[in-house]
Amino acid sequence: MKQFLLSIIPSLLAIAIAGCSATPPPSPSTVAPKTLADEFMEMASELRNAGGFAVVGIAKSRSMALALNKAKADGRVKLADLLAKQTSDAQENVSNSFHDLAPKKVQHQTSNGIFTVYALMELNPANEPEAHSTTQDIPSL
Amino acid sequence: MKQRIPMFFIGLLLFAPALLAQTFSRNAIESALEDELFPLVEEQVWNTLSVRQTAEETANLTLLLIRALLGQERFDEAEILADESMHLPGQDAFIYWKARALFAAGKFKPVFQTLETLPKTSDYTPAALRLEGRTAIAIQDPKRTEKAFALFEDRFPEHEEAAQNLFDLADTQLASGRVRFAAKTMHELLKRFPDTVLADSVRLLLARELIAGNGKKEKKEAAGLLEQLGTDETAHARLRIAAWVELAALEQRKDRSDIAADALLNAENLTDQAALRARQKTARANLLLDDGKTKEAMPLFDEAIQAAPDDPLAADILLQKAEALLKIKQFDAAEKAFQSYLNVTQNPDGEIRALFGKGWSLWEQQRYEEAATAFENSASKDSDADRRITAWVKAGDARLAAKQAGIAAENYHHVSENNPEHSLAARALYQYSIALLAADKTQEAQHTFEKTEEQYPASDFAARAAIQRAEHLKQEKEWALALDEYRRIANQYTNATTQATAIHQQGLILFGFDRFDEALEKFHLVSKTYPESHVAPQATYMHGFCRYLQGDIETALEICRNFISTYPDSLWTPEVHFWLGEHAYNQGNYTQAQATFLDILARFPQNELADDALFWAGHSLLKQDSFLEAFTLYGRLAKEYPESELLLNTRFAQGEALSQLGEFSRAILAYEEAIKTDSDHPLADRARGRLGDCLFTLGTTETTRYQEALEAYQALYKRPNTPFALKLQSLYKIARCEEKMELPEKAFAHYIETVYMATNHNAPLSPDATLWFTRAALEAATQQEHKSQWQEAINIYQRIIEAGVPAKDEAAKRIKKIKTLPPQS
Repeated sequence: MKQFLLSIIPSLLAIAIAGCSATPPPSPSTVAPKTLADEFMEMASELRNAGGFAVVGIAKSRSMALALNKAKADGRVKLADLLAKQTSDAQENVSNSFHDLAPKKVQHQTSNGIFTVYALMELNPANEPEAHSTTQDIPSL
Repeated sequence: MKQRIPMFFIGLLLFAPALLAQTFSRNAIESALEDELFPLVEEQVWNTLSVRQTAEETANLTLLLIRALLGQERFDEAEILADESMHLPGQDAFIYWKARALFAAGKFKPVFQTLETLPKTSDYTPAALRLEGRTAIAIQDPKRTEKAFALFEDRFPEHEEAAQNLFDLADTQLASGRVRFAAKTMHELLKRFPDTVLADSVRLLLARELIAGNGKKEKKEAAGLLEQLGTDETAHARLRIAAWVELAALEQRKDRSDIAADALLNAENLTDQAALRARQKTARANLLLDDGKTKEAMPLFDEAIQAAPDDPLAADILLQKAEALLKIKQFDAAEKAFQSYLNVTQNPDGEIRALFGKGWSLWEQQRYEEAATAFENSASKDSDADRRITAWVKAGDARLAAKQAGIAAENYHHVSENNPEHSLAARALYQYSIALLAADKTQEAQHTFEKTEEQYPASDFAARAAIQRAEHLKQEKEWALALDEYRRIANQYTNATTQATAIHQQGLILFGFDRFDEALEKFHLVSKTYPESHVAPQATYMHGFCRYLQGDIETALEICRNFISTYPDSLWTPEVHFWLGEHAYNQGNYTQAQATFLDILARFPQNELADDALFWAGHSLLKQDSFLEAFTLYGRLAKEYPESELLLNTRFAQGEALSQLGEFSRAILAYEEAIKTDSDHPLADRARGRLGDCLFTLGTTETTRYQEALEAYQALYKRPNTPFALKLQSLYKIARCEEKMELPEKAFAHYIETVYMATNHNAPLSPDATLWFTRAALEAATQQEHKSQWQEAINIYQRIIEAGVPAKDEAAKRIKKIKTLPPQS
């Protein structure tokens, strides 16, 4: 266990640093409107900076339900990838541990009848029990 | 930060049981799919897709997901998922499943468009062809359907769905009316897949088509298929039952009700459902009835009623039993069964059927008024147009038969007014006219007969209506108009019955005009051209009668004899026989006459000429001096036909026969009977006279009888309506009695009164009167001669001469003789 912890700490730090550097404060003269994708990326980044594991699952579909499910699946796969990278464990093993994980936040946008769903997936022990409450932004199907 | 990381992993481990779930193997998901646990499949697929998968595996999982969505009838999602998964390996699978999703969503045209994008060599081609066929069925495009299934059959004859495809192909061909092709396809299926469940279905389907084809060979094959299916213990019971039922129907159509009943029994033995069994039993009962096995059939009905699991079914079978009883003409039992049904049923349609059947049962029992009520009830409630109209017409018929012409007219009017296009409308209008006629509404009746002819010129009732109108003219003695009308009918209507009737009626009218030549021509035409018509016998008879009246006796007799051999049982045959008997009698051929009359009696004892024949047979015997036999026949007439109009004549004739036998006392009784029968009839007066004669004859042995004879003659003489000749005779016989009673003066006075009565008579004397005048005059003159009152005698003889009667020469001779006598004589 000690070895495991030692092995992931540098990675986590690296992510935190990278996360910080990836979001420089925008210059007032060149401010462009933030896209939903940007917002979710920022949220994930912030969460990661705060020491958590967070990714954004993204999916597109003409079906809202499909887009949502795909986004969640995508998020879980990405989260597993992230965790696997940190733990050097097989992606499948990690993923099996949280495929029921609910998104922290979900939002979508529509263009030409295509739904694009963003699902913020976070693996944070402090937040786990509230995971299911994040779907409130999804309109009822 | 150092604190958080270990805490996270600790937390991860803590929550692991809650989060822990496995990805699922494709086999496990497929099993769930087979079990139709679609929501579970969906969840499992998404869970599995939450782990990075190879593209191939993702494709496979996505296909399972599509099927799970279809299973939950989320067709749009399935279609979108398939459509959006085309980038995955195995694109043809997604094309196919997209098409399936579109099909399931009822979006048929896009199905074809989607399937067109499927690569020709795809593994999904067989399934795609099947789907194309099913989609073409859905849009009712039989050509495309058949094309798809035929292509499948051509390219994939060994495919696991080949049998089903053949079945669907046959079904499509049947739906397009391509029965021969369908039969060929079904035969192909039976040849290649004889032991499949589909083959069992095809046996039934093919048999039905072969039966419908109506060929003898086809029916034989159908019977074979049905029997094979029925006896195949591996086949589904439902199919086997259907096979036996079809076979029963087939055999029934061949009038082999016994075999049909056996087939139904087989069906019954395979049937678990009590209701179905009861129905099969009922059908079997009906078959046995058709086979004339009433005794076996009726208990089956009762068994079926008892076995019926509910009251409505039992009532329905009771109704069928009632209808069966009606069919086998057990009208009383049928009526009771219909009534029993009516007492329990709540079923409006059944109630109408029962009322209708009850109407027929009563009608057949000639209970017309009750029948009419039942028909009227049925008609007023029935929504089935044909049955309702039939009921109204039958209600009319029943009312008419019950002599309720007014109500009958209303019933017929219902139909003629409200359903003028119905096949019974012409009949209804015609019957309406008949009812009006019966209700003495002659003018209205004539009007509606005319309307019948105008409105339904092609109907049989048009001609009948025309004949009714002509008949009316005849009854009104508008002979010329009637003749013209019958001529018009004969020219206008080609129907044999109408032609025969119209020509025959022309003959009868012409006969009435004494235009025998023309009448003869008409009668001859009818008897030659329409020998089967109902008027042909009378026409033939009238033909003979015309010949007779024309004096061509031999031809007339020849026609009559031919008539008897051609129409031995016709209505006119007794009359023709009678005419032949009469002819023989008039010719003095009494033996022949007697035989002919007795033949009429033997063959037509209930005919209205039977008493006549007996009477004239008696007369023929009288003419042969067979008085006792004649008397016996007269006695038979009086006994067997007590209401006969010939009773008076018979009693009189009995008196005559007994007189001839010297049985005067019995003759007196016969004459008394005659007088009692109709005391004011002229023949009764003759009987009175003959009674006096009998008493007079009895006077020879018992002189007191002369007084009784005298009184009888006096009574006759005094009757105000006694004919003149009979009065003369009575007076003469009064004188004869007085002579026998030794009262010569009185006798002479009455003889001479007879003479004066005759000579003072204003009219010429009839032969009878001449006879009694002559006898009285000769008696009176003779008496004068006996008293040597020569001049008085001559005077009386002179009366005879003056009267110019046949005895005048005798009178002259006697005068001459008196004048030659010496004066002292």
